[in-house]
Amino acid sequence: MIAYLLIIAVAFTVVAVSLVRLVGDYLFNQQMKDDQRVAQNIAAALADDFCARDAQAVYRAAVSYVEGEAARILVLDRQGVVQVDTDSSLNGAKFENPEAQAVLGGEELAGNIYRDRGGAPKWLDRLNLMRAGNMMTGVYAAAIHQRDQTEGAVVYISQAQEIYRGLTAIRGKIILWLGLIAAVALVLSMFVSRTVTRPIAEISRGISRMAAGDLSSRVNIRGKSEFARLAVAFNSMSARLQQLDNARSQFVSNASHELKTPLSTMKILIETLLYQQTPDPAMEKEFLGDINKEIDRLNGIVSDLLTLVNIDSGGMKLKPEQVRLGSLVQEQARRLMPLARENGIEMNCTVKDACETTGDPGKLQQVFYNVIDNAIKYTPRGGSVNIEVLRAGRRAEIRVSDTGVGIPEKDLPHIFERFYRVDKARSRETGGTGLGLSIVKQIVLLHNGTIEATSTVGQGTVFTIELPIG
Amino acid sequence: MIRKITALILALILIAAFPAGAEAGQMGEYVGEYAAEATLWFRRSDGTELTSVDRTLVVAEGKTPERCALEALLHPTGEDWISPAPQGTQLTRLEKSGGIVTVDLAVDLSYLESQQELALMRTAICNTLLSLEGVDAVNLMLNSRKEAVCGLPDGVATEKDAGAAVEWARFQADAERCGQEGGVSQRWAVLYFPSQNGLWLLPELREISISEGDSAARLMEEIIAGPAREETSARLLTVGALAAEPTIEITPAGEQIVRIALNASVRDSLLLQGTPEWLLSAAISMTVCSFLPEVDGVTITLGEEPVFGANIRGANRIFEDNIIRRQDFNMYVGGICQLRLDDGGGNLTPVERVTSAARAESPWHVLQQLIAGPTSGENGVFQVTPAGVSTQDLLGVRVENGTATVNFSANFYRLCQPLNPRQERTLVYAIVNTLCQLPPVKAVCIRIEGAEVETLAGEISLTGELLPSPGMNAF
Repeated sequence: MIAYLLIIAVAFTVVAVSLVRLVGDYLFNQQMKDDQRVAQNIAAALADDFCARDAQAVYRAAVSYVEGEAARILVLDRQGVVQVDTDSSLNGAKFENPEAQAVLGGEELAGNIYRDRGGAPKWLDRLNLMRAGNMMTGVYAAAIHQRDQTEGAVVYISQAQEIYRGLTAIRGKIILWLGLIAAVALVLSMFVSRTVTRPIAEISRGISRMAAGDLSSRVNIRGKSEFARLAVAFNSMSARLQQLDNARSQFVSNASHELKTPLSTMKILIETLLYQQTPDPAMEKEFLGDINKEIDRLNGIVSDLLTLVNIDSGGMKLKPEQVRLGSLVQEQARRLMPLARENGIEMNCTVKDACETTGDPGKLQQVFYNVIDNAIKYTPRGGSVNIEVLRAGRRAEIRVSDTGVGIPEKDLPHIFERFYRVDKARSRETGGTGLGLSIVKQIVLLHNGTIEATSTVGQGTVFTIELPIG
Repeated sequence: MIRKITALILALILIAAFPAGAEAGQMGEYVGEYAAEATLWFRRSDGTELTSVDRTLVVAEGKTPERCALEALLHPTGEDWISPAPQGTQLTRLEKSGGIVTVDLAVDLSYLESQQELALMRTAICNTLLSLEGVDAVNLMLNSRKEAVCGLPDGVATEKDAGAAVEWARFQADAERCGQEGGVSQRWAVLYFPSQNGLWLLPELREISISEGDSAARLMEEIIAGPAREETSARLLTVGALAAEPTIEITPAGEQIVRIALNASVRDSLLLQGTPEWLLSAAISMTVCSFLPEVDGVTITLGEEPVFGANIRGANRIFEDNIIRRQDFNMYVGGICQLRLDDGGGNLTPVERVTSAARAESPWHVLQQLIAGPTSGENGVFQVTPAGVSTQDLLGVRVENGTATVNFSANFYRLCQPLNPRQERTLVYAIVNTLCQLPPVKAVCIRIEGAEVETLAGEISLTGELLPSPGMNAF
């Protein structure tokens, strides 16, 4: 703000000074030209009477020229002696003034404006025009001619103080107006500042806070301007970043916990075996089998983690080819049929439409296998799992529905999150890592498809996968 | 200081080089030849009208522009110009005082065939004289008498007439009007009053109303009314002075005279105010004879006693047949010499002194009056010359081509050294403004012992001529 004020003040001061100087110069030059013309006219008018030595006529005429004005006329002879003076105080005296001498020396006209700044020349002092308030005297000389000879000179002395006063008044007005304009400019700049720079500063502060690690930083800018839209985008970005950061933290925490759990279990089993007093082969065999399972589980978690990391980093490369979805789904169903029979679950697979898609068959197998596998895992004995493949417009729909335990409504939005388990105990029993559905979703997304889940607790769950046909 | 020492040395040198005072440098007065512009009105070749020609007159030494103009008019050179006056007309007398010119021509009136010719001649002469600078009024007399035009006084001409025919028509109209009952006409007349100093007669212009037969009474009324300029002129008569109405009579010799009967108390009044008695006779005779047509003189009775003579400045004169004529006193017409003296504030106040008409226009005499300073009766004015300066320090005045060169003595120069700038300006411009009031003088040069000096006391440059400073004149 102060910078604005300073800039405006400096700029307007320069303008004001320049303007006043320009106007002053113009006015002074104009006054000089006018007064020189006056001197010339007076000289022409008085010439005849002066040459006829009619002092009364010359004096009367001279007085009439200066009547009512702060001016004075001197008429000099060839020697520069004052012969007529409207003030009647210099008659007979030699008037040693440069302008008069120049004209008597042959020039037609001469003029100058003298400022009383102390040390005025004697002739100027004697004019006695330097009264209070009169600091500027214009002295203009014009030759009196007769028959091409210079017979004398008219010296017209005027008060230039009026110009000075006029200039002072103009300067005052300029300063007043420029001051008003500066104030208005200041108000406008404050308004612009409020509208433009404050939002930028606000956003800048938000970015700084975010850079310092505060992902909860938000920017409050109202309105419909670009800045407001930028603030909305920033807030959205920071919310997403916060969310991702939270998810990352949660993921790391979950991953650590999932990795640590089998290791802890293995350690207990191994320590039990190590510190056993009397070896029990049956216990040893059981414990070693459990240790083996935990190693498998650990291996599965690491494998899934690596898969997800690969997907996240964009390292997973699909090997696209034409895939018959119906065949692929049936194949996975056939693979899991023994598991289903073992769990007493009825499984049906219906391919209503032969849909083809461009995709990686290996990855798509993994998708269908995991989804069908989940359905079997979470359906109690006597339930059923139905698989359908059909065409819905330009998309292929693979629907896997079961009559399992269902997923509570509050958990439904999170089932595709990494390490999210609705029932930790159950998934541990079933050997789940909590990463399966995350991997499924990523692979479906890589194929430009979608996956949804709908469920009713106690009645079952339906997973619907849509993939583009073609 | 150096300047003063230098001036003193110069003064001493000048004093040593030139014997002081009257022995050397005393040049007196000299008015050289100069030019005067005039418009001469000649008669046209058809004789019925006038034609004018502008001319520059060369006024020779000792002459006046008025005399030169009349001479040129009466004796024209060149075939194209015809004198408005009959052949043989001579200028008998020319009086000028205070702008009033009285011309007396010796004319053979038999050459004037009609009153119209008389009016034409009058118009030509008056117009010519009125064209001169300093002439405000012209009173034309023929053979020392005024002539009537259309039976009425022609009066004094104060304006240039449009033309002889117009003037003649005016005279006729006036005569017709005055012939009617109650009809009056206006005429300008010259009234003469005694000067305050009791030495001179001073003329004064006055417009009076006349009707047929009462001009003499109107004149006396105006004399009784007194002078307009009481500072220079004295009142002559008071109300009740007239014992009877003036009458006009023809003497056995065929002269027309005006009888004026005054009360005896007039003598006492004159004595009381210190006015010499001769001025009474002079003023009345001059006034009456200068206005009433064909009047040769006046007779005055004071009480029962006729005025038969006068003691004029110590010399006795007897009036033949008790008739007082204009010629008895026309040499006592004075003039006002106007001086410019210091009012104490740096301005130059006019001071008027009565003297002879010739002296009133003499640069020499005027300067002497200036140097003499104010008289006892002149209050509020001060000497312009420094103490010690006398009329002896005025060595001479020379007027040539309109420039008056005034020559002062070295003593004068020495005495002027201590003057401050105001005093110096007042002194110099008292001299310049006073002299420039005189007709031939337009500018003044000041010399010391005949030599040019740069300045008197440092303020005024004296190397060239100086024009008057009207702004310094107080009114």
